[in-house]
Amino acid sequence: MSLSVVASRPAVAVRGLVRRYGARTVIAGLDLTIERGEFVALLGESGCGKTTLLRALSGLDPIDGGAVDAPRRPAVVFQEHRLLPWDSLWRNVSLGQPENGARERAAGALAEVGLGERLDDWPRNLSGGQAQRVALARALVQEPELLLLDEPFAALDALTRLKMQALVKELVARHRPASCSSPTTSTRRSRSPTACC
Amino acid sequence: MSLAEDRASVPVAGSSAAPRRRPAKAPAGGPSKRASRQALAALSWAAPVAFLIVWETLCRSGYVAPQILPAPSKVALTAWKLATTGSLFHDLGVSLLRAATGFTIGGALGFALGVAVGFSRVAEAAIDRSVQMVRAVPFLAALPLTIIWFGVGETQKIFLVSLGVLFPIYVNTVLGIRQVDPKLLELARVQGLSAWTTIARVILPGALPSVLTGVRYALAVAWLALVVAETVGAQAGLGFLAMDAREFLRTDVIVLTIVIYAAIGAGSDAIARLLERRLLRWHPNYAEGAR
Repeated sequence: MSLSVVASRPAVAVRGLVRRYGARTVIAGLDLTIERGEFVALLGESGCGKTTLLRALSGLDPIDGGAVDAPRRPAVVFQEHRLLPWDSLWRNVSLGQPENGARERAAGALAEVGLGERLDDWPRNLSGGQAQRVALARALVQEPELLLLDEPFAALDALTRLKMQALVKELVARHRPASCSSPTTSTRRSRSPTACC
Repeated sequence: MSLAEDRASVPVAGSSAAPRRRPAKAPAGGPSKRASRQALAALSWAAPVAFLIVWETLCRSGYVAPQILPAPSKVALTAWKLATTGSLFHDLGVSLLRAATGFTIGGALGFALGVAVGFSRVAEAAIDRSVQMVRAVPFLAALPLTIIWFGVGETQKIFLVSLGVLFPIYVNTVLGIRQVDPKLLELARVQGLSAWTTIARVILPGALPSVLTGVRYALAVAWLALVVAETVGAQAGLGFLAMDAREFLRTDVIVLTIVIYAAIGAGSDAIARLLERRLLRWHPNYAEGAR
């Protein structure tokens, strides 16, 4: 599924990445290239550095060696939904977006994840799966070049997780964020290039 | 007793008498539940009403001299007289204005200091220790000093109220800002929010529940400060009314001012709770129906 829209430059190019926590080296010399439109799943047991890699790619953490070339502002969906409890759903989705027409764009994104009727609802009224769908809408509304999913469905039950994975697949196919990397130990959809760490 | 009825009576556990009298067909959450809730509400008023009746009876039968404690009916009559012919509303207004002014000054100062310390480690190093040291002093202990500084005029009372209000607002503002979920701050970075937007959209709303707790506490402190300041010396206000009445053994007026202080305290608490319900609608603990 590595159909490249712009074949010239990969979306993500990691060369010799090193990441340490104190004396412990979590990532030692990782090379990774992700083409535009590519869907990469990271597999590995917990604590092996999947989240560490994503945090390096998203620029949240500094790196201790090597080079990371990634879009400046990737969209991230975290393991927890991280919705602002004091903002309505549409305000959450448009967080960081220009004010102009924010509500309309948020409405569009919420409709895509099947919550178009709940624009003015509070996050506390959502189930776990619904909250993660809003988090997904918040990522999509940014029209990101790179979408990073850090086990966003790990806390959901198996059935909801399957539905969510199908939804992500559909949305990624529609929006084609140049690349999309999702570490999850249980996904069987890793038919795309896989990087293990 | 049917299962459905059994379930219906669970939320009102403790009032087992009411549901049992209903027929077994009563729908869950139906009239039986409402009736028992009313019974509980009536029961909760029984003790205060009984207390008033006993008080009234003791006074009327002469067991308690009016100079010691006037009958409730006498207090009500005095309230009516003072309200229609006397200076009750003027004194009430003077007291309310003092409280409001002191609350505004002390609250604004406490909030400003709290925001500065909450956001900046430098401000914390510069300010926090001093504030905590002053806070350790029971602020009413400063009363004789404030009388020497300001006399017994308005400034002294407003100063004392401000001093009492400042600390609860300060402490809770700092706490609220420091307790904002770091995961949400990380989200703000990922979403590319500016520093100002992060403060306005993430930090201040996150600190609000704690700040409002401070406001509620500060309202109680403001009244305490005012009662003390007015009782020690004033030319107008509720405290003046009470001290003036003491000279003439007018216990009915004194009891009346105590009742008014209590009513205002309850009123300001209700305002604080209304603020919480309005501003914290998103919060599960303050949502409609939550208790």
